[in-house]
Amino acid sequence: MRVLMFGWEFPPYVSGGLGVACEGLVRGLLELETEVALVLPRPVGASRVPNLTLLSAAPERGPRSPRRSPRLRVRRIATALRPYASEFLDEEGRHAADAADVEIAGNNGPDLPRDVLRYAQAARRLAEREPFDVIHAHDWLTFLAGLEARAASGKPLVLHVHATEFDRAGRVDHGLVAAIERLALGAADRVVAVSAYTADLVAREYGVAPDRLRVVHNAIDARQTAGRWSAAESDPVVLFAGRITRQKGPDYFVEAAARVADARPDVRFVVAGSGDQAPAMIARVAERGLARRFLFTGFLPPAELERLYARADVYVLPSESEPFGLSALEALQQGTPVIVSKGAGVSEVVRNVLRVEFGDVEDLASKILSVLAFPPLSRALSAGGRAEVRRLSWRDAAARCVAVYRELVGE
Amino acid sequence: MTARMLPVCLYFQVHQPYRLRRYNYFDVGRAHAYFDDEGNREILERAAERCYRPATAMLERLLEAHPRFAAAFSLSGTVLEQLATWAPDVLESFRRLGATGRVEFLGETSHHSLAFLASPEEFAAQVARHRDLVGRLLGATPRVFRNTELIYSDRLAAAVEALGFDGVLADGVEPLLGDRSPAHLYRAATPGGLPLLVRHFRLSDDVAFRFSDRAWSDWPLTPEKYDRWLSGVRGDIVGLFMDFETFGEHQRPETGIFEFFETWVERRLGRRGIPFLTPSAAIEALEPADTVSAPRLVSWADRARDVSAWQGNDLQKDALGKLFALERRVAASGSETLAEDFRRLTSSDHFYYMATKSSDDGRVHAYFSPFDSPYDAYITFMHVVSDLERRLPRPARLRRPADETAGRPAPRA
Repeated sequence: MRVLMFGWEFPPYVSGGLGVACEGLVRGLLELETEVALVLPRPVGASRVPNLTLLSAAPERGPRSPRRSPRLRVRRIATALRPYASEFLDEEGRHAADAADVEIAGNNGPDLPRDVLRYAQAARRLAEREPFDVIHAHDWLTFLAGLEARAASGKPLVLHVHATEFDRAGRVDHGLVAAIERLALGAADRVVAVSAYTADLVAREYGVAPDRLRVVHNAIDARQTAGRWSAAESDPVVLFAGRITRQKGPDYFVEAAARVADARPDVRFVVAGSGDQAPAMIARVAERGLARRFLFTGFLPPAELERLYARADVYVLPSESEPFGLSALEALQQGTPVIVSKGAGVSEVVRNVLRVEFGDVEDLASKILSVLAFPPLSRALSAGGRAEVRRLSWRDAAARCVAVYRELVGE
Repeated sequence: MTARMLPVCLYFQVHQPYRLRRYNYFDVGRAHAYFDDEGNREILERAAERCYRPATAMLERLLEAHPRFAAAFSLSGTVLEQLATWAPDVLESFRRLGATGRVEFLGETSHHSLAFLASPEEFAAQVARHRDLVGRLLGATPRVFRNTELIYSDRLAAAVEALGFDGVLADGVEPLLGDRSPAHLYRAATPGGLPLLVRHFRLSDDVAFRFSDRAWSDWPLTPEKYDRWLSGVRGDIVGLFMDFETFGEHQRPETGIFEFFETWVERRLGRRGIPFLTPSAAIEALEPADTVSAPRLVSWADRARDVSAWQGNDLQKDALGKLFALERRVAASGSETLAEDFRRLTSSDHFYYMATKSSDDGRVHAYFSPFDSPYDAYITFMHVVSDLERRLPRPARLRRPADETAGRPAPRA
């Protein structure tokens, strides 16, 4: 079985769970002796995962097959895209897409829609060139690439939903991205969701029928845990980590923190991550007079983040909508008690977490204080969570993906 | 060829706890109403509708039609009080059953509590309290004792004997009986050799747990089949002990549980011999087969049949310890309000909800629990206990013997 996989980010260049999940899944697939050719939007170096072929959708410059693939050319791909390209691109966008030779940025900058289209166009070329049995594409950024690859090859398409626009934007403004999601999910041969929560959402909002819809929960692999920081100071630490976007519920974290701070003058709050809501969050912390209790670290590399999980007394994931919440598994792996919003996909695979109704600030604050107040609770969550996480593996998740491929390829 | 019909001893447990309401860190010191009156009333009314009314009516019919039918109940004090408040007609039904003289009411703790595991004094006080309640509300005097969830040991039997009961119940499981049959009356390893009636767990659970389980190889269970199994038992008596809520609540009416039971009872009554015995009658009629020693605690709960359903993890142990640490101060307060809040917190149910077991046991715990998780159960309970503690008068300062402190540095402020 050979899989042509389309990703957007891949370690070490990651900004969120998508890249981590993608790597985990790829490693799991390789362990199962499935061949994977992973396509990424930017020029890539050698793969750091053995047996993994990394392909770039960016224009090639190297000596490799200059004859067959000199440059990406938009015109050659435009046929398939035309029916819906006009819906996605304004005049300027179409113009830019027509200009060949532009590197795909591969980050979430202002040119994202154009990059997505260029990536899709490149996908067609790669699909014509690469041998494979099934196409597997992760999230809306790569969905059009998946469709293009299928159009070029006639091979079955699996779309993997790590998050939808409904998670990211709440109930407002579902323009371009939602349109791509609706189109692609409606056309895919199989849709894999990272949780039952997300599967329900995809069925409800995009009308994906249950016979095409499968759930493959994210996982985490055992690894050497990062050394703990020496506990020079022992004040309790409450941690928020991840992209600071509306979806992640930063406001509710601050509101709960205000109540916790009132009750316990020794507690500190650490916010690790960056995002468009970071300035608003900082402003809110200042307004609430909590500046001296908060530490904003900005974006942290994985190893540092791991140490921070280990140091924290409780990790809070107060998301409004959380398709999965991989960071909760990372915190549990470090033995840190976790509080997540009810409905978060992660609570479908672990029971040793505390759950709060999204927006119930008082309950959230009470649970934070409870973990800090009752050592037997903290110990039970820590030991129970660790044990549960040890039972998870990306290999199992990959095996479920392979089962989905088999439904389509029929080996 | 037909084997002698063994008498069956039927005992049904009726219990509803006072479940806690949502209670969090910020309620401590502010709100002193701990119990979910509305939810508890709803659950009681649902149980009355689904089980208590139709099931007592069925038993009343059987008792009226068949002079040889007999059964026993144990009603916890908390359910007795809830019935008196929210469903007095059900209480009246139980009273009528008792008035036939063929329905026995057993003794237990007033609050279906874990008091035996924590405090002999509180245990004895709750047993006396239950005896009063049964006398007042049902007009009966319990002679035979069953402890909460059939939690049993030699020490329990000795305590029960000392309180003047004629007999005691336990689950007839391997940890208690070894390879001895559950189909006998036994003697407890107590000074007076207290008669010990044990549950035939397999035949009891065939009805209580497996009756409607379509994955069970013996589904569907018919009265004929069940009768045949009973006929195959060698011994003196078969104890069928189960939750009364088996009828209509755990096994819904559409499973055919009511028809099954009624038909089975009538089948037995159509034959010669003694079809049914109450616990007191069984103790009087039968000779104990052996003395059974139980150095360790057994119960009828979970697969382990020990006390791990309520004291299996650190949360449960911490919660029980923290609660009973207040016992003396509650008594010293002289406040009946505080004492009743304390007693309601001793109910085994609160600890059952805190169990973190997985698999089948975990599913059963979750079925009964009003909480999202065992952790929520623990957190709620602990905040309530914190509040209860704050309401208590300060403990009298411990007098420190002079010689113990002499020569030591002054304690830090």
